Amino acid sequence: MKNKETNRSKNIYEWIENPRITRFLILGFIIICVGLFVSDFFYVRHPYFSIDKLFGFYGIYGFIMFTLIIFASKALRLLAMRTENFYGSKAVDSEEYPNEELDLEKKDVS
Amino acid sequence: MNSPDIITSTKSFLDHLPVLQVLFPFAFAPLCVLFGHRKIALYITISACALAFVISLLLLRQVLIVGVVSYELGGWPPPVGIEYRVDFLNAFLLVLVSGMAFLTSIYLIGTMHAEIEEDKQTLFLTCFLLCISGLLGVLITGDAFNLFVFLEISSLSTYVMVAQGANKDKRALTAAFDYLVMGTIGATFFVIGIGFLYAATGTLNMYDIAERIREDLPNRTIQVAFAFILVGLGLKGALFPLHTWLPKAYSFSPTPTAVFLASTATKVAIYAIIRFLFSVFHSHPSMLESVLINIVMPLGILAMFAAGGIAFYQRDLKRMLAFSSVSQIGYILLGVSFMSTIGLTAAVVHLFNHGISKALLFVCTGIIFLSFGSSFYKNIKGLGRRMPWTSAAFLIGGLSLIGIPGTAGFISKWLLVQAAIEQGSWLIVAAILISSLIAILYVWQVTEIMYFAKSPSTETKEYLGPSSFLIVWILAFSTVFFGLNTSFTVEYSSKAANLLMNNFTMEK
Amino acid sequence: MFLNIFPIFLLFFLMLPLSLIFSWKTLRILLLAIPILGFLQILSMDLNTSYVINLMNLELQLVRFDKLTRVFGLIFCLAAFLGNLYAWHVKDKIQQVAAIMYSGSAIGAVFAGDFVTLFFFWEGTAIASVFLIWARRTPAAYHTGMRYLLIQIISGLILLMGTVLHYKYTGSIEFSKLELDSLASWLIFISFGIKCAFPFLHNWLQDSYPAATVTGTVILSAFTTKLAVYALARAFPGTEILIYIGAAMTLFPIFFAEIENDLRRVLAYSLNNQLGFMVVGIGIGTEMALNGTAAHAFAHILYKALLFMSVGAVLFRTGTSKASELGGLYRTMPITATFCLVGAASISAFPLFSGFVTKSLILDAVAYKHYQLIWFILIFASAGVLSHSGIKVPFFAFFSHDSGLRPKEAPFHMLMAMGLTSALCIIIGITPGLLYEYLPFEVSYKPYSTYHVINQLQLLCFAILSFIIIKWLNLLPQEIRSINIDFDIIYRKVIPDFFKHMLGKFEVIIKIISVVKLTLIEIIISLLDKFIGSDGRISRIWSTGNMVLWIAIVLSLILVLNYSTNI
Repeated sequence: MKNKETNRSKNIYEWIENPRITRFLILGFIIICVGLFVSDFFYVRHPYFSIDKLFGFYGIYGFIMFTLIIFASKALRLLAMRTENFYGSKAVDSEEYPNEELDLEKKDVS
Repeated sequence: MNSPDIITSTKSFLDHLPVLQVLFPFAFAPLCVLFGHRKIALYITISACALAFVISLLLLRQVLIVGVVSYELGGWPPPVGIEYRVDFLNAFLLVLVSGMAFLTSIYLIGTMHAEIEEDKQTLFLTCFLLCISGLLGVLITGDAFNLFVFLEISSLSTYVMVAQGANKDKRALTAAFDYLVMGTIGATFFVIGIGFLYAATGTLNMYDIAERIREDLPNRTIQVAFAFILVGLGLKGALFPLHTWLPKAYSFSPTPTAVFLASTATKVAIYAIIRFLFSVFHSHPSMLESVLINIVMPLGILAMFAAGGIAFYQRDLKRMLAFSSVSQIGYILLGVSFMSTIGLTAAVVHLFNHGISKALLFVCTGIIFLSFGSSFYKNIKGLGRRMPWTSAAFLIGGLSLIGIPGTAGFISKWLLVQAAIEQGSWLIVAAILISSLIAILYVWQVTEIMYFAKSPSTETKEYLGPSSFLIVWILAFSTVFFGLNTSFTVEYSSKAANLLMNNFTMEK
Repeated sequence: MFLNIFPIFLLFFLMLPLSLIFSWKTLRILLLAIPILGFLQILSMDLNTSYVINLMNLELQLVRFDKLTRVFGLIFCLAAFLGNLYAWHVKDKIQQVAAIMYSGSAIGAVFAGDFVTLFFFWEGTAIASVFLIWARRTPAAYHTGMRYLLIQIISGLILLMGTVLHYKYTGSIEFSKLELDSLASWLIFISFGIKCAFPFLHNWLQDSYPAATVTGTVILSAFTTKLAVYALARAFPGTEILIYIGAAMTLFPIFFAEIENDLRRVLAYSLNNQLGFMVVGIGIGTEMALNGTAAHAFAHILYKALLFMSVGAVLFRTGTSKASELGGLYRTMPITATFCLVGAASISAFPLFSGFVTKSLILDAVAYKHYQLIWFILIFASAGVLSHSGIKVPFFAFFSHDSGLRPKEAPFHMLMAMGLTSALCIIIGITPGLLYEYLPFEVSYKPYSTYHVINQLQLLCFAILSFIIIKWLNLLPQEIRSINIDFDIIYRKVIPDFFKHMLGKFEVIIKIISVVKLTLIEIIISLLDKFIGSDGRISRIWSTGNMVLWIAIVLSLILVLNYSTNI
């Protein structure tokens, strides 16, 4: 019974492994985005300032800012990244989590 | 509850409360011998203690209503007759002593048969009752010589009670003998002092003495009387370095004796010191001041450190607790030596709070001692697992010794710090805090052994009859209770302190 | 009546003595029961009650109960319950007691009506919580814990200094609104700021949370910082500088979170960023903004705990929480993955999830006050939240490439805790009225208006679109086993190195000092031994003669003194 349940629950995300479905979903998502962008025509907007009066402001802002964050962090990485034992034995980064606390059980199904 | 009708209708009974307070244990003591059966004697003891406790509460209420209760013994008015005089200070301490006596008597139910030889139990109880009546008498009397008599009654019976430890350890006999020698010297000094006072004033009533020496300039007789009384009572109260009888007496006596002595005997002697300082000699403030500041205060601070340090070096629970008592007495005397209302309040509150905490610790030690036959550190490893209830209660007591907030010990130390701040002496504040660190050390040491050392066996082995269990947790609960709710302790102590300081400042 | 006044959080502290008696099995039941009791009591308490104890000359207001207290008290009890449920399996009594004492202190601090009481509980949270880090029982955890404790204690000491000065200036210790016009209030402000992880004071958070135990981090995430938010909301509402501090707090953690490898540290950075929103709300200080802060703290504690729980479950089963080692766990931990997604959706403020109904309160309050730049920063930060907490955490842990790990699903009690938390996140998201009712001020706010929902969806969906494109172009920052230096390099590396360097030059002097120190210590110890040691002068058993000698000495001392002073 327990096995059955785990088998069923395994199915929740099975679609991820199917490239056709994912492609379909991404396409659907892009359509949704376009729909959201266009929907600016159809409702009464409540801009707080002058800039967010722009058509599709939130979509554009979100897109640009997200991209900016990714690239800015990549730049930060050049500056800030160090090896894991930079702080030596005085930081937890370089050590394994002690096993006594854990319950490292593997799932029986391969 | 407070309806005046009751008071008037039972007026005669309530009027005689002061004498009944002493009389009950005193009169029940021979009954124990007369019946001669240890079980009956035990119940007689318990009922006498219970009665004394109830009376002390009634007295406290009466004091609250009328202020100072004065009782003329035999109808002879003072200063000729003996006067029993109850004000806030002794009413408050009467509750402590009779309450502790009551708890100890219940504790005896479960432990007496293991601690004291069977044929001596009746006599032990008799002495116990006599000791109680002596201590209560010291607290209640307003007559200097009567005080000496009661002090001797309590001391003599105490020697016997300490010597009963010989059942387990023969060294109890030498401890009792040393105590006897020292106690006798103390009593002698005290009576010499009273003799001088009598020579100077011609009266023995304390309030009368106070009145009469006011008119005099400080003369040699009074100074000598003062010195002898202070040293005599200081001996009884284990003022450092006159404490040397105490560790032995506490550690070799049977644990019920230790419980009772630790929580009451020294406290009563210190009460007597406070009484003489602030109700008799207050008319010579400069003399008082110079002795308190130059002798009592340094000795108190020295006691806090030296005795605390010694406690840290001990390897036996009982001795550790005994030295810690000496160090705690240092705190009390420090409070007294400030000669301020807050300082006195701190001293009186600490008398009470330390009484409870130390009783708790000794009761726990007694249980440990009975379970393991020893209270040496090396034998109590891993006790936390083997006797969880007792160890937990012990820890609460220990925290109170340190003065952790939420325990009774914190309240008195806090007051003491306040008194020191009020005096502007930051050095003393630092001393109090640092000596608390020493207390942390010696309590931590025991905690570590109890909870973190590996025990040879892991079986639970809790020698804990229902009566002992009850006592342990009543005491543990009150240690925490008086740490959280200060309305009872601080209120009465500050009233007592106010009263005493009024005398003093008026003279000044 | 009694229940109404008795400060029930004292029960939390009762666990310390109880732990000496009971086994961990009994304790864990109490650990669940006590927060429930606390929760019920707070629900039933009358508003504006107080419980004052008189400790000597100080009037300590142990309980001051108003609406602000209520909402924080409720969520703290809830968080304690959920955290303890999540930690049901923990056999370590130290962790159990530390957790409950920690939550008790936090609740006590929220109830405190004066600065002295606040100080006690403030330090209480510091001391109790460090054991959750030390409970990992490795040398590194010990050092991290020490750093954490040091900073927390310093915060408490600054608070104490501020309190003393404040008392000196005003004669009052009441914990109420302050103006930033004196040294006292600045000290108090900085003390709160340390706990609230203001920029440059924030590193303790990212340093310590990844170092705590699996369950400890969940508990840690709920209390300390939100307590600071409460304290700021109580003492400094409408202080303008907070707006800028808060905006900075929302900004800088985004970038660090994006490149951090340890997912628990990612969440710690994201926590810092969320605190920024609350701090901005406090800085605005209008009723709406304070409502927003309280509501956001409430929702935030839940979804942040949920995220920490899901990552903790992964750590519990795989032994690591590093993005570079994880991936593809949805195959065997689908339920945990789902809960993680709920947490991610909540923190990213998707409509129908809790973050949406609380964050928009703050955003709108900012807009109404015409802080245009701040508003843009907050919107930007919202996109940032999506990037690290909304996408990065679930994506790298549960999806992404297959790491080959096949751990078992999280144990049942963890799933229970996560499930309950998820349910709460969704319930708040769907029926915000339930939460709004308990906010400090009247709420007449409707989060689900067309333009709100659409604008938010536009923002989020286009951000996700950007993610998909960047992922497709393979331009995402790689998961590399690494750490990133932050401001803490100053006190963890630069200053110690500097001193090491300097001291290297004076080696001889140092050697001399250490030799002198050693001999001094030896001398002191031998002296102590000689006098008070087990067979020392004072402590050995005295002969009667010696005793009497001392009596004579004391007596003569008194006599001499009396004679000399009175003649």
